[in-house]
Amino acid sequence: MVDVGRFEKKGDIMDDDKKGNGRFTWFKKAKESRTWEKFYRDRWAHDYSVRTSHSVNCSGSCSWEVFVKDGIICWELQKTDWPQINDETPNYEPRGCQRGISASWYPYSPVRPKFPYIRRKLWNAYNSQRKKGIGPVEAWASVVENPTLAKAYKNARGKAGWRRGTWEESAEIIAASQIYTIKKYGADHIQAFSPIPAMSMVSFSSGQRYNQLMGGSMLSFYEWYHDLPHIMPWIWGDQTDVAESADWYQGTYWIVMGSNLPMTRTPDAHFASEHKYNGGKITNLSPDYSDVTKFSDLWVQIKEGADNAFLSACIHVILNEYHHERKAEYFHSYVKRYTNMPFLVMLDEEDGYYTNGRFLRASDFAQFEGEEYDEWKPVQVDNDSGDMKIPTGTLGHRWETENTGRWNLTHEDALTGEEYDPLLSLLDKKGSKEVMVGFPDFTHTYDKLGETKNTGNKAINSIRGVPAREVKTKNGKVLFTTVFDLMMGQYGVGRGLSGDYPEDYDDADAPFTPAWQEQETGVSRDLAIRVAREWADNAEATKGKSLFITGSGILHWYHGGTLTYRAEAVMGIICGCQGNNGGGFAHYVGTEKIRNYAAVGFLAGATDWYRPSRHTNSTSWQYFHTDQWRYDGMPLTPLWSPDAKTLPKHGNHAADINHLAVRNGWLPFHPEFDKKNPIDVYQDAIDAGCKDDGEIAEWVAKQFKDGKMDFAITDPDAKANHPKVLTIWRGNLFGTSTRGQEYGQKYLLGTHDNVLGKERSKDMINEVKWHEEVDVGKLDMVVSLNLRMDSSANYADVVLPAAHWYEKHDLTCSDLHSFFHPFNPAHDPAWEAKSDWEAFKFLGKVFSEMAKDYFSRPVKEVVLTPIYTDCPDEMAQPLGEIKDWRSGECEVIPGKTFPHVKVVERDYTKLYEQYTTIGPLGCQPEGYGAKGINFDLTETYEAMKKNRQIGEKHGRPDISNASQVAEAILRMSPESDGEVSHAIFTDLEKRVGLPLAEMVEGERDIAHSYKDLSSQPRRSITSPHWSAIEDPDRTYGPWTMNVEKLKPWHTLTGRQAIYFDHQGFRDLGEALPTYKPAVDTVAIGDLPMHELENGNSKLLRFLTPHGKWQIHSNFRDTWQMTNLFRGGPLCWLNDDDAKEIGVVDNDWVEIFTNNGIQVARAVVSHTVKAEACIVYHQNERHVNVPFSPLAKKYGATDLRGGGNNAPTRVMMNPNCMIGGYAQFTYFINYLGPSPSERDMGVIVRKMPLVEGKVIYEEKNLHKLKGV
Amino acid sequence: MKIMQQMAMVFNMDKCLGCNTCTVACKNIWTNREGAKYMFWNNVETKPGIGYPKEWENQEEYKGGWILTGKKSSPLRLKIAPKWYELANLFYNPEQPEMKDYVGDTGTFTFTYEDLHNPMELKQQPVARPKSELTGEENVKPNWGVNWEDNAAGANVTGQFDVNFDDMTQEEKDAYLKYQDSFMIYLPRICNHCANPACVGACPSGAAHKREEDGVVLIDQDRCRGWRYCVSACPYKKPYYNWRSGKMEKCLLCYPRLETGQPPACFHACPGRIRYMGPIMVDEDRVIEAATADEKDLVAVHRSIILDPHDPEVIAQAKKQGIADSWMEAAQRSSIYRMFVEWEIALPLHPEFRTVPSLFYVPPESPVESVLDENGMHSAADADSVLPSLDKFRVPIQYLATMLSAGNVSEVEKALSRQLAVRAYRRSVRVDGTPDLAVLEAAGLTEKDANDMQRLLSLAFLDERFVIPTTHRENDRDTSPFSERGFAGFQEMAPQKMKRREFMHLDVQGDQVI
Repeated sequence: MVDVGRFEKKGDIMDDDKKGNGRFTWFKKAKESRTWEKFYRDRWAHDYSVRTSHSVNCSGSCSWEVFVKDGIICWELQKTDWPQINDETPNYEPRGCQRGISASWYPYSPVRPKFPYIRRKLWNAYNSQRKKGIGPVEAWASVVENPTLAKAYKNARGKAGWRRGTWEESAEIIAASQIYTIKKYGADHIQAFSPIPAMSMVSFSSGQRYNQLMGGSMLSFYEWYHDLPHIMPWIWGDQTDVAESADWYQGTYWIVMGSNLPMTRTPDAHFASEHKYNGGKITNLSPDYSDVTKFSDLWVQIKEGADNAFLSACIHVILNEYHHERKAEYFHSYVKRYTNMPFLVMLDEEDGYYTNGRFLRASDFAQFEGEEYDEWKPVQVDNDSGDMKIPTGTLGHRWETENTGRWNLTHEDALTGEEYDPLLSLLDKKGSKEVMVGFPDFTHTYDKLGETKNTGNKAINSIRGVPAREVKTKNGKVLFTTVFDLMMGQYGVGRGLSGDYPEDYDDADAPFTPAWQEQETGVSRDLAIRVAREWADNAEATKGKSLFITGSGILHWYHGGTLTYRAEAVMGIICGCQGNNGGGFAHYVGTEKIRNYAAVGFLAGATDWYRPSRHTNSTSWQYFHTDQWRYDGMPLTPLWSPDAKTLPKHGNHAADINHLAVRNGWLPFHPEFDKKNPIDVYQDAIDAGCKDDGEIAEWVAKQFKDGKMDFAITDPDAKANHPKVLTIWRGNLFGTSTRGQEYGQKYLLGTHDNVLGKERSKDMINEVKWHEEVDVGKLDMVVSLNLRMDSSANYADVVLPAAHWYEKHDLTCSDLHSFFHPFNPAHDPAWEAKSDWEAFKFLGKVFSEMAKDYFSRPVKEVVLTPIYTDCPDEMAQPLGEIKDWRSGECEVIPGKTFPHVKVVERDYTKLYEQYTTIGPLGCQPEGYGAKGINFDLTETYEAMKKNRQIGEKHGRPDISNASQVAEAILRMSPESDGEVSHAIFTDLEKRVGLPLAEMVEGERDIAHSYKDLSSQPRRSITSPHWSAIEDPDRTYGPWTMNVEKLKPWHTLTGRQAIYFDHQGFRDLGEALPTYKPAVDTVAIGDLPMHELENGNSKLLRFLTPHGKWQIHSNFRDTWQMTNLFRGGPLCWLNDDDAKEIGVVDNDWVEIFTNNGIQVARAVVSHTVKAEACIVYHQNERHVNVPFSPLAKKYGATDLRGGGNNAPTRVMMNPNCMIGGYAQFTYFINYLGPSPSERDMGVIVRKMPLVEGKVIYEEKNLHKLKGV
Repeated sequence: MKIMQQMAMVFNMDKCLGCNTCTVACKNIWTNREGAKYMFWNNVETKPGIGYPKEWENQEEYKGGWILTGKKSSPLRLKIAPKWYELANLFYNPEQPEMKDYVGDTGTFTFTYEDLHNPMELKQQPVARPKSELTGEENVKPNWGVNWEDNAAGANVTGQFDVNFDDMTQEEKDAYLKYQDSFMIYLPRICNHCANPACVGACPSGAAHKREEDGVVLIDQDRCRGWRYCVSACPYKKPYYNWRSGKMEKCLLCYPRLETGQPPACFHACPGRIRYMGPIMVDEDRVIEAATADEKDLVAVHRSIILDPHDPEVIAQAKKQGIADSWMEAAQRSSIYRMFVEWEIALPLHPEFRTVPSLFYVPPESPVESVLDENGMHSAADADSVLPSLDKFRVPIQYLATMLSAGNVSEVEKALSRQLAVRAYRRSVRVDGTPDLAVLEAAGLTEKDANDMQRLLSLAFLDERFVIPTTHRENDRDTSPFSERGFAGFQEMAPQKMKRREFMHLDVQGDQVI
């Protein structure tokens, strides 16, 4: 019937219709024996499967089932049995992405180190000494103290030359290097780097605990990864707290910017489309047609880095239309209760105008005399009576010595307990008058990339009228206004006042009108007005269900985490979106949320044994120890407010401000003392007659005051101030996060580099000592525990084979869901690999044994720590004033004007015993907890010893094995143990004075155990350490506890901080939210502009967002991820830009600055915006990186292209160094400068080839031409 | 009426993340081996673009699928050629992709990772260099692959060859391939397990076949002789030649999983939750009608041959044919019938290939078009409404129609406008507080439809996305599960002639003992 070309084979496939009446004769179905089907059936059949996860910094914390067949891990699929939160919210299944599902490639892959490796050159030098019969530490000394030997093995780093070693040999040489360093230089010269605890808490804790027990310092990662949203601690007083992704679903209007959900939040991205079907809308700000643009309704084609200008215009419109022309009642009452907008700001007189000053506080008024901590109790005005009031809930109430229960957000007078209505604005109020105030305008401080004159311009002032009132204080009459009134002035909402206010929305000259933003963004004013209205209308109708989803695409700009994020947050706050499910500011970076924060900090910090721990902020550590500070040509001039007086006095360069931050106790720095071992400092203090720790602290302070001692940061290039030993695990420091990677290779590691530029900061710096020649190869020992031969392994001295994620016990969690999840081994670690916990246990045992020969008794040393957040330290430096003891502006007082000086005694022979048991220090009042919310762990501690999954060892809870650690973490955590949560809440109630423990009354019986998690992930419990009320059927939305239970935020006023009154922020013109343009790195000397003259090259903005085929450097090397796209380093270019430089798709290009060179293949696409290129990080150096003709031309020692951090370098923002004051107080990963690599401009050129090809191999290197 | 049980599928393109988790799920289990590595039974393509293999949609080039003959007696034939052609060209079949059309000049590739473990001391850093898995050649430069055009990579050039632009002018096409008017969608693809499979029609060996109990199209690995006619005939290019075994392989819808009520791995693994699966009941007698309809009616006629699982007549016929109640119930409960037939929001991929696919796509929404205002600033084309309007979508409706409805724009408009109506209705409930029923009425939907669609497209719980009845293996004619339990896995040991069916009671149908 139908003419088909096929053969009929008898007995083959039969047609079952015998009538032949118009049926297809070919339409066949098999009826015969199905035995052939066994072919595929047997493949699917497997022997075993297990629930586990991946330890990568991706926010996933996914649930995976790993299938074992014939004893081999063959494939994985997601487990789909996540508990349902409620019936009206989509479930988290299947949670897992294309990268995670390629993880089974790793366990047996050729990239995996299967045995310990030791750098041959180092081993030979060391072992030849050992063979002479001398001890390990002596042998180590003879190698590192011999300049020829040391230089030789350091210069060999990254250039193969491996020797297969044993665990015993490796442990010996590592312990020798550590003991040598402790004795000769001090334990503060030992650093440990392992990022992102939440991605595998036990593994994180292992090496940190090992290092902390010996006194080494933990290098931070959160702000170093540029993941820390600086505004989170500043506005909300918390490190980060954001909505789980199911909470997005409750929203009805999303603005997504800088977060490419399908690409980087892959398992959560389904909520985007699902939220739309549930009535939501998505607006997307993005320079390129990104993956999330595909899901948006409105794509704002914004110029890269200018997002804040667009949002500032939106805020202008919202303030004008919803807070002035019409007072939206919901917004109005929200900002009164939950923000610092009704608080009072003094106006400081300048020449003919005023500037915004500090908050008025109880200490300013005679009538509040005698009030405890009156400098920490900002005041308000009662709207009805006009009287000054001290509201409840301020920082002074938080740390009061006797609990009065007034740390809460009731609208009460803290003295009388009477409710009152705070005054929000002085406009048209009796007794108010208009005064002129200067508002700094930074619009033209930098122009478009490459077009700024000089090295950047000074800001100018807009002088605008603001309503103010006079009040009598202890120091005479002062003028004040409210934060609300200042905000209206700052955003140019005229309200009939005089001065430089814009005429209307079309006034392009005055910030921050819709017309003004056009010059910065390239986006029409109509669109800014429209987005503002849609956002606000939606928030008003839904009581706050307008949501920002944002991330590192914004954060990595110089002003990203500080100003652009702040604009997002403020746009949410003024529309009442924070603290409501489905609304507010939601920022996502890696697996940042350690839900069991207290327990992990406790075990990893080893604070069960020794206090304080040593912490270092990595950005400063890298900036100085890789000597990038010497190449930083950025003067801070364009950052200062026109009226800045204090901070600029201390320096106009990031290095000098960093020095101020260290000496004032704002930031830590390691090593601590200038050319002095902390053990010797202790001994000198004793020799000088000090009798106790207090006297030692005083003595140390005096030595500094007298100039007899100094900080190592004063002379970071002195040999004795170099870091000496670095251990890296669970992370890829050299391959992924070292911005200024080539500087790292040169200075830190002492090997080859392709830094092209010259040092630029010599004449810009006063505080930090300049050496004309710098000793390179600062680190003596680099250890990498690794499951891949990635860059960190390649450049290490000892590589230890780590267990794969499918080979160990551990725990994970994420901010994107609210569950705890286990790791379980599919089989034991292959070859000679060990899990992280076992590896450091092994090292600990060897170290302890060796210590018996070198430390006959416990050792005492002095530890310097900065002024810490979430404790009374926050009240160290009153009124936000900057006082420098060294200039004689104040006394040297440890813990107040200077770092804390503490004495710690360590028994190095007990390290192994301490590692494997939980120490006693949590068992005391306030002995255990987090974020200043603590309790006495004794009851839990005793119970753990009796817990069958933990048990007792030497009278203490036994944590010898990883599964015991996992169980101990769960038992100590309020998030997984209802009784612990209830107990801490009960304590907290005394301070807050309102009921809180009732939130977990129904969950007191819940105690998730490690074994429970293996049967199904378990949801976290409402915790005193977090801000969401997690009713069993409610999605996790941050700050709901603050809004509903009136628990204050951890800020100065206890409210969300719109205004930052610290002197430093005022000097930077950032006391109020503002806009500063992206840095022009051409202007500050990062670009070899003469290279543009050679043609075939172009200056482009360098965008390095997270990519689709990798999680940082992980997975980028698997077969699946390389073959699913183009395999190797890639650079996305706009088609017109590519054409201009003669590049076609898949051509090789060089991407470079004075900081270094990257080599990649071009991906040409019309979806990329012109004048920007995108290199999805992280391009590792170990796969598909050929030699660079440009490197040869410049005579670089490193002839390969680097990773995408080769062209970048660390650029530190001084605002992130401010400390010692309320919520602007340091803690590791809480505050600190970030590297800002997104502001870099790069030159991209078509790479010259040799005979049409690139050169990969050393044997062909002679063919490479330097052109 | 004769009912054909068909496991059918819907992919919601609006929800597709383009992540390729599906691709890897399949790859790891089924084709992660020599000879099969270039096979991607599941792949995801970015459109505009030409895909994998290059230009698979271009049947001027490959001559896949069926065409109308114009003859009443035999209205349909394979486009590759009539029977005589196949006979004449048994050993030479030019109408199929070459290896380079799949994986470029290098084939799939790996890297020389062993260089990183080198015991020799070098002068420069070692790197893992690219190496062809096809030839073993080192230091190669890959230039095509399964997802070479990911996120429109290089699509400013390859997009020119995308057949879905064929109904547009060159100017329009050029505009869509520049930044301001750019658009991008993802197209996930597996075997369509067609009701009129061209691969089965073309197979000279009788190896390609369609399973009676679930409509899965398979290539019998015992029978296949590697003629590769299925490659030519399949317009979707989903059968692949295994160069190691010399046999053809293709997506098997993970039958070992399917038979046990589990979705195929690619469905299971999809984090976008875009995939839906369940049985439909096809009127087998009318498949020919669906395959031979006029182009503009292809979708409508296809819908008409899917039987209403709630229709008493259909249910009675199913009983008569011995179709298990569990399958009928699954057809009623599953989403496929509702999405494809009732709500008409899903469409087959290139119905003009006339293979009557069993996989249907919900067309995607997109951001609204851009315009430049008088100052040259970027603005949006829709100024008035919060939610976008259909005529302002960046993705041209014509483009989607060429892809999903043989050019019938109204089918795509209907599918999109109904999705938009559900959104507007839900927004009216959640934001405005007053349900907007008029918007539903205008789109031809009831409030119940809208709520059901919201459940299915938005909440989409696992047991709603996948309604998969297990295989009734007890109905096998030759074997009995009672005896087979012990032989499972030992089939090779079992004597072929052994009596393996043991009756525990009489199987009767009506009065007849069977």
